[in-house]
Amino acid sequence: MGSIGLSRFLVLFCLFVPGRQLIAAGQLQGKVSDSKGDFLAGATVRLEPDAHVRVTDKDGGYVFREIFPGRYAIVVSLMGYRTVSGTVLVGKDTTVYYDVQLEEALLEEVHVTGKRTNVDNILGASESAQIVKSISKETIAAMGSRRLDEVLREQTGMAVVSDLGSGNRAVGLQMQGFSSEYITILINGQPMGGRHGGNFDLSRISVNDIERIEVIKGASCSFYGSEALGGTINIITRQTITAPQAAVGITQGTYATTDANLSGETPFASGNGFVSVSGNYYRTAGFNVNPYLENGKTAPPYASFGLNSRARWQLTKNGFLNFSSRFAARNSNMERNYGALPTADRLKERDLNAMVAWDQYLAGSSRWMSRYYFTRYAGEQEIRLTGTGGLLQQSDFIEYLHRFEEQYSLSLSDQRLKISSGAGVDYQRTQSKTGGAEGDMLNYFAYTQTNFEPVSSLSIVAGLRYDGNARYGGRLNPTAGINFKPTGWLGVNVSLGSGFKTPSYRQRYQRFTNLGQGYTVLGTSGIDAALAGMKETGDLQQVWAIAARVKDLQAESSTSWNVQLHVRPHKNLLIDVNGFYNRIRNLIVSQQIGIKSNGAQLFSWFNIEGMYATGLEGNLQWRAGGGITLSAGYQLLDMRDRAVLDSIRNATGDYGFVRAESGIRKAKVSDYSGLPNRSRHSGMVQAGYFIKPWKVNISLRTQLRGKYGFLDIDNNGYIDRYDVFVRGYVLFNASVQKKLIRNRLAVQLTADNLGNYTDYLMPGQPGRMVLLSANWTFTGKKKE
Amino acid sequence: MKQLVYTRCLLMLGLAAAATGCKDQDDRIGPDTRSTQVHDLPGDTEASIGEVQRPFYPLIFRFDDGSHQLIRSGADSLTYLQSNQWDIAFTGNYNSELFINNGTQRGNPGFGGPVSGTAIVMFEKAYDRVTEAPADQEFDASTITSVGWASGSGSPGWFFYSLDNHISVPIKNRSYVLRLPDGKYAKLEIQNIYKNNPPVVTDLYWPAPFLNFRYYVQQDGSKNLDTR
Repeated sequence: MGSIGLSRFLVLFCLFVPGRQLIAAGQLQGKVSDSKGDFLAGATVRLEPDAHVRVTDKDGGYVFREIFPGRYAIVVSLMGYRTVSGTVLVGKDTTVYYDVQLEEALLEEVHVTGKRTNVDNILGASESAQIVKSISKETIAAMGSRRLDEVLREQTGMAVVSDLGSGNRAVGLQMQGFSSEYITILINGQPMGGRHGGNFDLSRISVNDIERIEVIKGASCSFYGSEALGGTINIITRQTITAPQAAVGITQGTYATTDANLSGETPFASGNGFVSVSGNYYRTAGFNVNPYLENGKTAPPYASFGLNSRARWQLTKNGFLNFSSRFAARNSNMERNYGALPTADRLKERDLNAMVAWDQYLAGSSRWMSRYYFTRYAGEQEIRLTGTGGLLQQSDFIEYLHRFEEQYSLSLSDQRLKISSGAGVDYQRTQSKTGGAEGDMLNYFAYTQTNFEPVSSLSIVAGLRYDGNARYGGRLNPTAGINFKPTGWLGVNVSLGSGFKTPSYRQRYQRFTNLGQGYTVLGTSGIDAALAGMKETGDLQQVWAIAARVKDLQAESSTSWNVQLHVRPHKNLLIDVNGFYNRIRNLIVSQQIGIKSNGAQLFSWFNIEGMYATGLEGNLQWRAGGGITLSAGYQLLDMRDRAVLDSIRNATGDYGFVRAESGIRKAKVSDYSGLPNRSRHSGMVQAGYFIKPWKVNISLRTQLRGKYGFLDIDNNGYIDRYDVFVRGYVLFNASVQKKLIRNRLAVQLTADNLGNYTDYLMPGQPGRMVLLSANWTFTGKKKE
Repeated sequence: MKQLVYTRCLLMLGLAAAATGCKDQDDRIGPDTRSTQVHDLPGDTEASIGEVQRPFYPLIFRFDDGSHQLIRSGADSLTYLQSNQWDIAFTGNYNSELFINNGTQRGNPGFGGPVSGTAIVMFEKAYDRVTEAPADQEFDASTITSVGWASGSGSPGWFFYSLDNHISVPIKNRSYVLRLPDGKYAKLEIQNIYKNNPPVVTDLYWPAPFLNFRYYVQQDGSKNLDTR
């Protein structure tokens, strides 16, 4: 929603001249120029919903001939300029003239500019109540990143952190303090599966086929689901097909990294359809940042293969068939030897996502979409002692999700009011060879959202979503946002989101025993029977009193508030300040409830009161002129567990003490430094330099992260100032890209982590990497 | 932060260096030259808690000469346990539970043997700061039978189990003073069960048990345990 207001002052003006009679069907034409009035060649003009695309000629002109009469969204974009969008009405037997002025863009757009029509969803990210950050493929290309985790870890307020308690491979994204478990990862608006202990490893995803990434921080619900308590990452795969085109690219660099891409795309059926296919091969030898490790890697070596496709075909006058798919396979073998008892950790993943949709535009700017989505994730992991072959850990499961969804949107009052609704069901099933993790679930949902723009300076979004579960009942979640732009240089956005997450299958039913360590975790349902069973088999030594408090789990829920101030004191300067407050209730945690006969621990799950994450995020972008852009971002985060605060105040048990250097003393609230893995301060500074005559793009970037808690070493149950912290750090990244041979060849030299900074407490942060890549684009003849 | 500075120190000094670290070092006192540092003494590394349900073999240790023995069988038990030839035993999961040889305490590996009068007293102090054994009445009154997992507040154990990382974490600045089978006094710090005694364990399968501990036995029979 912040973007709607923004787009209004970004679009300088759009000239709309009602047409004159020329030919039988409608025609749309115009000129694209820059802010000085010079015509721009090579700009892409796209008409939605038809996905007709033209590229402007040397005089900045474009023509769409013989198009159906009706209302179209028009999107004009050109590298280095802000994308502009608007609506045009093409009548029967008329020619409509639509001229556009583009303004030079800042390096990275914080907001989605313009109401981009989403081909996969009736609601675009820009219509969300929450602030949406969009990362374009140009930004990703300038960074020289290969995998999704590399892109996101450099964004303000985001970090990729290891979750060592969940395993040596467990890494996930953290956003506004929320861990990976609470962040929904979507591909073209549909959820991706394949989490290990709640963690979603983003390195599974190649950035090769990504058109843009849309990020919503905090709970948002409405159309992406209520489970995203902490935020949503939506990966939009390539969807603009301008002309027949093919590309081949290869990257080679440190840690035996190879990234090879091959893609092809073409319009068909006289421009009424398009298809694109791309393949990616990636391999890395992994790396080691642990000085104690004599042989082996702290970050796994792997080879991955991926295949993406998308097609859209206009089958009737206003109807489109959409198809998109992604398949990825990854094999990894990580060995570790600390000088004794070496281990081998093997992982095999197979990942499929596919969607078919019928997209129907109806009279009066209504739209209806019918979608079916399927995803399957199969993961096999096994950790064995190399010497004896003894099994330490095994997980072997397949997840399936089928989802049917109907969406309908209605625009009224000259598009000032848009009502979007939808409903669907999904069936989830998990098969497991490792016992106790099997199950299936039927979920159903319905939602509605209203976007209302009473005056051009004000827009209001209100939404409601109901999610239900055949076993767990249902829940209603509201969302709301308001965007106010009193003057041209100031905008305010206030949004509220909420979400809830039902306890997982594993938390309710699974009886899991870690082979290497011997501990057992019991699901809460039927725990009495499970304990009785263990007693009978002689597996139980002690059951603690706390075990009597195990009961059916409540769903976790969160409420997110965001307030953003958007200031543009000068044409070339953009400042955003965003305050956020996330309150999480009924958080589910594991706690020890007893001791097994083998001396290992027995755990179960409990709801605890919850925590809060609050903070400030600021972003600044400045177009300094001469092709130089500067940007900086900072996040201040405070995330604490309320129960810990209370326990320190009340000096409950061990919470009441800290082990200072001088000895044990009474704890103060100020000793508590918040949740582990969260930095109070983090940020980034980036500079981009585009040397136009040489077609050279230079990107210099730094990532900053303040110290963060790692491990409680005095057993008082929280991280205090005397515990183990990971030191704060600054990483430097650089990339230089040059285009040659009429932009067909792009050569890029990328260096990540120039200072070669590593720390064995950050097993997934590689040392210096230098990569060289070359990309060649074969362009077909442009269709007029 | 402190811990990391301390990590660097450890790495520079070599891994056998004192676990109290150089940051905390009191400049007025010299380095500890009298204590014995035991580095990576293998416990029963072939037992695994999970798949193989075999209990860990106990490991007995003598302070005098550092001699040690894994008790693999009933025959071993008969040969070694009921004797005054060992001072301490590492037993249980990952050999993490420490006993002092005592023939009168039920459950003690030396139960039924000739040793009596031994005892353990826990100090909430860094090893270097423990300079004197307490009065004999304190040993006599001690209820500590073994030192292992500190499963709750008030437990005298030397480590706790981190629920976040599923590893055992030594409790810092906790030391033990022992009254030995021969009546001498000693102090002991148990540092780690993980190989190379890393300041922080970052791997669920970091090799264990490899016992790291240091001790000092006052040979003159006095209560002076100052090692610097």
